[in-house]
Amino acid sequence: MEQYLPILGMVLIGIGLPVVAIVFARLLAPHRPGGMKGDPYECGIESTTSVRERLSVRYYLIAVLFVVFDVETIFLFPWAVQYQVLGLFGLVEMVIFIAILLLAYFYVIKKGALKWA
Amino acid sequence: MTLAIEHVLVTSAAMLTVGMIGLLVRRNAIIMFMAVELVLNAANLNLIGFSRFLPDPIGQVFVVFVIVIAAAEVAVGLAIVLALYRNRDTVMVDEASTMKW
Amino acid sequence: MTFDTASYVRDLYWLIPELWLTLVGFALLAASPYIRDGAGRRIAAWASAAGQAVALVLLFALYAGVSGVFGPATPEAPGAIYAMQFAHGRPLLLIDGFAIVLKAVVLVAGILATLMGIRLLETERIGRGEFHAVLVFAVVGAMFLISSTDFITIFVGLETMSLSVYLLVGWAKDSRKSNEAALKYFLLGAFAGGLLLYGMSLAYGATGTTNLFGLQQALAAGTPESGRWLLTLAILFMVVGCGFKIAAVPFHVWTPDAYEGAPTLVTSFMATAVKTAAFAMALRIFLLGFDAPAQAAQWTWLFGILAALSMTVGNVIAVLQDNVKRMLAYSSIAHVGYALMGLVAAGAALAGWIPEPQRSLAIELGQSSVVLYMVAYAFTAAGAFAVVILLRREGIEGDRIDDFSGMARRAPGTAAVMLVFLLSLAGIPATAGFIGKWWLFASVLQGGGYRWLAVLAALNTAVSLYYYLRVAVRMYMEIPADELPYAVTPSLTAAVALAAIGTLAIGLWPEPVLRLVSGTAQLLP
Repeated sequence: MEQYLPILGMVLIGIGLPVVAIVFARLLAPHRPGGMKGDPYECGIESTTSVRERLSVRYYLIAVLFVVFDVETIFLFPWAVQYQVLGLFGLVEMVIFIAILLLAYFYVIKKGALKWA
Repeated sequence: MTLAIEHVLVTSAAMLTVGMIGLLVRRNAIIMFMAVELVLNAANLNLIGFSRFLPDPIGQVFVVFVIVIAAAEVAVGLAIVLALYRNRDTVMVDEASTMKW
Repeated sequence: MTFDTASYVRDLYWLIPELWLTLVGFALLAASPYIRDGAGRRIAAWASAAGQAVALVLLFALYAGVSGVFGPATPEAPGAIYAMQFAHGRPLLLIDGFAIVLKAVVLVAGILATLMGIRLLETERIGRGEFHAVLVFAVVGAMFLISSTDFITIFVGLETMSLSVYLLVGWAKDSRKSNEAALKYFLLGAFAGGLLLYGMSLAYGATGTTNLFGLQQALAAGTPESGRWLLTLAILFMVVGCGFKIAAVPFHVWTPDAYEGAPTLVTSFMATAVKTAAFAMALRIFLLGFDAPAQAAQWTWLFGILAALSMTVGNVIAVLQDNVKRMLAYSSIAHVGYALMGLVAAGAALAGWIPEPQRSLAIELGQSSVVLYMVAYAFTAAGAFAVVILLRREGIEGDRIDDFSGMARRAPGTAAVMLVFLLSLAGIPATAGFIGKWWLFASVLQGGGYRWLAVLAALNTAVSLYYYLRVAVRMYMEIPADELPYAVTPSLTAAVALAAIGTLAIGLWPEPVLRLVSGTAQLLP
């Protein structure tokens, strides 16, 4: 347990410093909210639209497609590690796997999910 | 102090609890969805931990499959939430109550 | 480590029906962007039904000659058990009589759902070509799950099926009900999958194997003191996870909403195929993996409580429903309660609460009665939902009990068939439901302290008669609610006829099915 004490100390200091800084700033600084002070600062130009702008649904679609296709690569790693053992059989199996992914990919293209605009 | 299986179990139990409470307490579909993913990851942590301490490689194989399935689940879940949002402009599940009893 | 390629490829032979269906699914998916009009969609639907029918033929052709499934096992054909092995030499997938019969049920349920829904998909304007691809993938997942004897394959099969069905439930994107149903089903279904997985991880930790046969061996050898609480927790999590998936009370809250909100053909598929596959999973996990007396004692009473709650709550709340789909949802919850009696009976025997002469009989009877009930319920429920689809017309939702008013006057044949389905659901003699219930009662009456479940089930059957006959009264005693013609199509008629033939055939001439089903218990090792 003793060897973890320095880490505990670091954590305490790490938490303590910002807490002290924030508390002192709050206590010492004058506090007058209101007016233009609340506006978001954009290079000195008045902001025209809300910050919480809706993103295009395209981003969401592409993100989901990315997640699905990206995670599938996880199966490539064990295959790569055991490549020598699995030999030709592993290669054929992987080609089938990739072919299925490719089919899905072409389906996505055909559906126009990757068309921007 | 070295890492023992008990530490893994306690951590995963904590994740499971957070996930279960999240699903029961929160009403935002996205957050409930994250809670479900947390439960899956708690189980993953268990599998990896046991795989390390048994030792036995099958647990890691299992985790690879679970990760992929979880990704597919994300795609399906977000699609469902998005369809709901388009029709209702909300992702709060307690406002989605056309049907009762 | 060596890898035996030849045996692996040889094993694929036994998966031909699944592989074929996967190809069908991909073909439908690849064709879907090119399908734009109603004719193309109808062709896709028929192609999907034909593909599933071919898979059914393949399933029978593959196993008819070699197994004890379609007749007594002989020395030359000692029973169709083909195991897909993993690196550690224990089966990942098992093709036994149990799997073959239940796979056939799933395929029939898939075909019926596809046929009954062709017109409905047009009326609801949700007939995009992908629908049939996703349905076929759900069937593949269910078939895979039924064969699975390893936690990894169980989880993969379960999620393949579930993810597809979440999508199908929410397929009517513009319908708020459908959105809501999909969201509720998805959140609770995924959560249940997580709990099940957590239970699997604990069982893996306690025994060091993810395989059900390995689990069986490890438990028979006796577990160390330290692993015992892990196992208890694992069983608890798995009972809860399975409870969600089979929709047993108190884990049923998603069921009525999902059943009501989903397009009716999907509801039919959920009530038949998905439920069958989930039951197969529960039977495999608990009767194969956790069959040691100490563990059986733990899960049996949990399932006993679930059974009692499901049949009571399901039936009582079904009485209050005005929506037929919702009523059938609660009725299906009640039927889960009945079917669980078989599992409980087998569990009581495994736990050693039934002395030896009856013990092995009770185990076999318990298993096979659940299988039989799934066969009987699949035909009956699919038929009932198909008749509900008949009432869905342009501008009329057709899912209220009032919509059945005067059906006997407008379509006497359909009303008669619906009456058969209702009587079968209630378990009246000469229908499939009666045969199924008879066996369940017989199994639980073997002893083991669960005879009270049979009494409760009998009382519940009396309650259920009330709400089933309420529909019959509407059909026969009241004047028609509207004048719009019913949505009759050849495919829907075919689906209703198939379901009715199945229901009546099992009820009137049960021998073939009983022989088929009694073979499944011996083959579940």
